[in-house]
Amino acid sequence: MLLELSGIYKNYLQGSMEVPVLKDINLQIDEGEYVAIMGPSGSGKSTLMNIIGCIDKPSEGLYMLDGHDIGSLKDRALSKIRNKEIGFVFQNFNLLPRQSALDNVGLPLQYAGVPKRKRKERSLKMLDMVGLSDRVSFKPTQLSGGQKQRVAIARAMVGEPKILLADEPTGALDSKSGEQVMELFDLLHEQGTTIIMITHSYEVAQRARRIVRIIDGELLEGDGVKTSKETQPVAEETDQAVVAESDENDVNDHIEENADTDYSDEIKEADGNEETD
Amino acid sequence: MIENIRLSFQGIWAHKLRSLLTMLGIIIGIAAIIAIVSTIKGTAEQIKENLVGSGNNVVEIKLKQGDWDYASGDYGSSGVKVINDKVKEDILAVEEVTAVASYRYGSMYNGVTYESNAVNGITVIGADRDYMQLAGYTVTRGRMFVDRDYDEYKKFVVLDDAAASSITGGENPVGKTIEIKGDPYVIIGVVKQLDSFAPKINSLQDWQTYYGDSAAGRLFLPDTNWPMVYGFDEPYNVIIKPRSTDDITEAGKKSADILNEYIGAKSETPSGEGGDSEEANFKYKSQDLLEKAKQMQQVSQSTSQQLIWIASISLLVGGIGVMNIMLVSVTERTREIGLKKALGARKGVILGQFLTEAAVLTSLGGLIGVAGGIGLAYLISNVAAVPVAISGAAIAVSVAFSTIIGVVFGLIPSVKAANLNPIDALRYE
Repeated sequence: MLLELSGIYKNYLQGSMEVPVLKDINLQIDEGEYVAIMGPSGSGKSTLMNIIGCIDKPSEGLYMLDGHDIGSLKDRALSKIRNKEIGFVFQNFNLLPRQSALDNVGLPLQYAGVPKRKRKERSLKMLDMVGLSDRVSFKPTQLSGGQKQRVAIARAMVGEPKILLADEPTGALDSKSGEQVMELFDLLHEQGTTIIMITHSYEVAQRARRIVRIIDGELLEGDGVKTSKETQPVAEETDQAVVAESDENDVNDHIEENADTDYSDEIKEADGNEETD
Repeated sequence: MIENIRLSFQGIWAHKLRSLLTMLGIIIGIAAIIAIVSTIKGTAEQIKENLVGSGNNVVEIKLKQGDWDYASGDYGSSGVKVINDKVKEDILAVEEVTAVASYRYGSMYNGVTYESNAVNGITVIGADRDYMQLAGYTVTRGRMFVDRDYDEYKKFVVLDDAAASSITGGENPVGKTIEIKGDPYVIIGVVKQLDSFAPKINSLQDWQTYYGDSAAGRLFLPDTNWPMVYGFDEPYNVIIKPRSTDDITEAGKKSADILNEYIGAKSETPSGEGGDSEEANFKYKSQDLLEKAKQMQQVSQSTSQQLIWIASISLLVGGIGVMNIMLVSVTERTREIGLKKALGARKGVILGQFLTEAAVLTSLGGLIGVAGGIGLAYLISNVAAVPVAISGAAIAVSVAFSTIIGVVFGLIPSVKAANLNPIDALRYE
């Protein structure tokens, strides 16, 4: 097991109100898996991704990554995990605008303390892999969106992390550039990288070997399209019980009981109940 | 580190105007300090040079009557013992003394006449055989005294250029005859004191300080002729050449002690004892120019030090400006900080990056300030006729200090950046 999330909750403060974003997430991902996380806007998929990427902390629950209990780690150790175990690819690339493609790719190695010559050598190799060996000294403003994203992928992978986290990697790209990025992901997957990718696009998600859906902060495993049709309304009073039992429930049960189409009402009522308690 | 410095320069270059404005406080502060320090140092060196000369200096040990220099005059013998060669040898035996000469000093308000015109205010000096050379006089016209002039009591005089012009005007005085108390003397030469012996004159005030007592110039005659002019074997003043500039004080004191012991002067002369015998008031005193120079330097330094404090306020204000702009910079680059943290940058890395940037910014300001300060110092020296001496130490301290300002005032913004939560930073709009 490469990573395991159990009983993960995440609440955000909105004004003085605590808004739950993730509710009892249980997810296990093995080494070498290619997982797509799908879900509508505001469903909490980015928050989940950030928790997996160790840049956000859950309000509650246990997250084990490669044998480390992430919740117990101090800042320094977390930095090391982010640096060595995880590669990040963002929808909007997040390249440093004043630095060349080569320097951007070399950033994680710089933070790992790799000497400059070695850094350059490995960065060049990565840029070659993503097909940009002729754009090495270009600044991000001189690159197209697809090229920028490939630089970002080179940067994510230069430290040879076990996990590649991609938050809508094709979201800002045209279909041709998107296809190139997806081909790179396929290649990385073949080479044994564990890929976890957020996407809106069902077509993109199909390339993954496993699809996880997240709706209103709750997780649904499997081909989201089918399961959403099977969901049924859930009785209000069972909600607390389900949360408590969720570890034992199998995934399908979980989906049936929680994927409510009219969920917002239920939240209000549940909140109301808690207050009266 | 080098990477950070390179990045800082990129950042500064990317915001040229902003960086310049941020640095302005530092630039002005450092420039002011460098200009002030350079001017102080220049003035101090000038004072020392004026008073002490540049290495060829001699120390005068003058016979004082109370607080006044003793001068031979028309009012009879002083009764002070006349020094002999034995005393000079004793002085020469002092470790710090390398040469010694003696002279007699007198004023003559109306005793000198040339072509029936009285020449007022001439200072008359009876030089021994070593005096002219030791005091740094060179011949510009005619010749200097030779041993025969002394041995044969020749009635010859030598003038300095001020005396030459006050006696004969523009004419060549060599060969002309003047009368001293009715006795004819032949002018055999005109001398000039070497620049390195003469005080430097940069202003009217300088001139009054150094030449006020001898406005009409100096007239030299062999000391052996002194009794002929003044009627008595008058006491001598002594000049000595110290081993080095730093030995001036010691050499002067020791020589004065020897002379005082010889003439039997009391070691302590209470100023209130006006009723004491006249002889007890005579005493040799070395003119400690080094000490005097130091006193004058201290006066100019203490006023300038207050100016430095005022300039330091500009540095403080500049530092606050740097802190302000660094806080803005941190806010602007929140996303960048978040990204770097997501890529595994530790707190220390972010802290180092921003501290370096602040330090580079202020150091650069410091360097520009040093350049501006040197320029300003030369400008002041041109306008106000104050000499300038650029101090390497002041430059080093200024640049180091501006770097420290960057680190100190960059600390709060840098810590703020380093402590940003990666997710909050990445999400920041």
